Amino acid sequence: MLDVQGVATEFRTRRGTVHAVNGVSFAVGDGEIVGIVGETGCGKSVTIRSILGLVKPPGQVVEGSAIFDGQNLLALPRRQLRRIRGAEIGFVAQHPFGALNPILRIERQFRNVIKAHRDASDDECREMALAMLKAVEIPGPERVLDGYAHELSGGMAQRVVIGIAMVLNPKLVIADEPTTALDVTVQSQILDLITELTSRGRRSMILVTHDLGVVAQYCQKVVIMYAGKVVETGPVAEVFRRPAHPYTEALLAAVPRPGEPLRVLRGTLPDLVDYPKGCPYNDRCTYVSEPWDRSAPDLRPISESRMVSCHLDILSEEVLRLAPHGPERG
Amino acid sequence: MALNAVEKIFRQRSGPDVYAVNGVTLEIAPGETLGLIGESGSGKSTVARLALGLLQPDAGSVQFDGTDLTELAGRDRRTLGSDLTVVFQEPYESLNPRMSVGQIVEEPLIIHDRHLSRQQRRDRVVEALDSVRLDLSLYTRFPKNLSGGQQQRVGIARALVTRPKMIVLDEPTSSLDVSVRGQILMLLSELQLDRGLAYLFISHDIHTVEYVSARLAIMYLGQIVETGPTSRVFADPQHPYTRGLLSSRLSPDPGVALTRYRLLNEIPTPTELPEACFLTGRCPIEIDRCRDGRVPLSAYEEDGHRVACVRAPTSFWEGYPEVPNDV
Repeated sequence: MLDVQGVATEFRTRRGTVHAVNGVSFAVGDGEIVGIVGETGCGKSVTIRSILGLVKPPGQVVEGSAIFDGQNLLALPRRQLRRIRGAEIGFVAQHPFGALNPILRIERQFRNVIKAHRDASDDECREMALAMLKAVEIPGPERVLDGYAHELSGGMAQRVVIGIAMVLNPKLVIADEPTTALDVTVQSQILDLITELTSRGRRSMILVTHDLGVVAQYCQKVVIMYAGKVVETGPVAEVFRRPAHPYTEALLAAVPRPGEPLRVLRGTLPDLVDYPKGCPYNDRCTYVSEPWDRSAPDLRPISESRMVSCHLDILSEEVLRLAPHGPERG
Repeated sequence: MALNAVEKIFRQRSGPDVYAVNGVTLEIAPGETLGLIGESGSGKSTVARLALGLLQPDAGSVQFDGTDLTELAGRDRRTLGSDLTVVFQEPYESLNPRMSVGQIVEEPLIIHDRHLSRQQRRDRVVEALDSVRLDLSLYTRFPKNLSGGQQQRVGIARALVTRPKMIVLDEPTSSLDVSVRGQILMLLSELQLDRGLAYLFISHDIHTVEYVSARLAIMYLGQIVETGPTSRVFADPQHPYTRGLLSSRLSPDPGVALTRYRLLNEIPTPTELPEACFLTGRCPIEIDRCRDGRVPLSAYEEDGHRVACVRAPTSFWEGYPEVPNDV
């Protein structure tokens, strides 16, 4: 469905070049829901913006490819990319009120998207929009279509955004933190809905999030990012049960669980301007006692479905025994 | 700290009155953490400001350490400010960008502990920075040059420098990343053990509140709908809102799916409150009796577990739609 290879995106600033995304590769299969997780500054949002051609200057995609349906999205002319975006790839942003136009009726916003891609009459557009609002379980869809965004609650507005993103029946839906701005009870409603619609239409989805619970409960595959790189990827159940990268392990252990001691990540993210030449996680890694002088590890397969970028094999008994400082607990 | 039947109404010049807090009663013992959870619009941040004496309640009383905050003014309020402090959600926005770390942490001493000499103040600032494990080299730095985690440590140091008895923590970790959140939570629990601090820990993050609080209060539309020992409330939630809220949290362990109890619709704006249970219209197990009038908290068990629901004890949940979340 989507095959992303070696994408690198930079931002040229007065302080120097910010290496936001540094050779990111991952794949999304047919009907798969893939979670991209990481902390602030890990490059997860920039990665998907790069794929969608939404990176604006001073940002620039400098390397890589994103093959969608046989075409490289990163090499397509703007007009062709626009034809794909919205019709074949739907996008759901974090803030629903930022995504909706405050001065256009909801019906008009549906119509704009539909007419940009399809030859449809106003009546046909209204019918499609109504059907979509029913699918996203909005009560009183006619009233909502004739109204404006500000009349909606956060949850309802996000349902409208999802409706617009899916109205042209895209094969791939990309959602960037779709529930971060919403309350917990609304969050689960929206995630239930969006994943339901995805699997019902046999679509694929990329779900960008910082919430490990969202990945654990809704995704089949996970891509863990750190400092603009993919550190680990694989099936959620396997990665969460036996993480193969020290960062993944530390991230999972930093979730508060009553009755268990919290494990804390030491240190901070590396400087993205003065990007480290070796492993970007080296400073924080509990498995090494001093800096490596080795080059940055490549993303390598460790099983048919899993990849990791680490010089060590932390799943092996031997490394666990030899590791002088790790894994630190408590 | 004790809040007794506290009410707060915000009157708007244009638009209807907002009934933000509607009869909240809660108590926090020395050295204890009370977790207060609720969604946006539940009134939890207003409770924080009432507890701090930053807002005057329209009814009810707020007592701290034997004094009634609603009757304090001027100078007395100032002395109190050293015993009762606050840490806010957005560390950067709550720090003055023109002041250095040292000045920010010192400021409460200048306001509240006027008898201290300059040298004594400096010693206290160093002590506070040390206790939040901030390097003294940051003393002259400005907030914008610090990471989010460091900024929040400065906020905590400022709350500690007057050696308070209690700290109100208003979403102290909500804007932080997972790894930094862990560091801050560990720090807060160590400080509590060392100094016998009481915390009012306000958050919408259910996992964090469950982890840090011995007791819990759940707010909905300006009312506490359920309260009790955290483990009891999690094991046996009695209010339909609590049940819906707690079951909407997502387990970070794949394969461990909670049964989802779905609430209908969304939280309304508190401009017109019904003379009925506040959950009417959203409650999946509503009956006629729920509309007879407002429902106060009443004892459910002797361990302090209290609930505001006419159907409690709700040993059966007929009609409550279960949404199995097997993806």
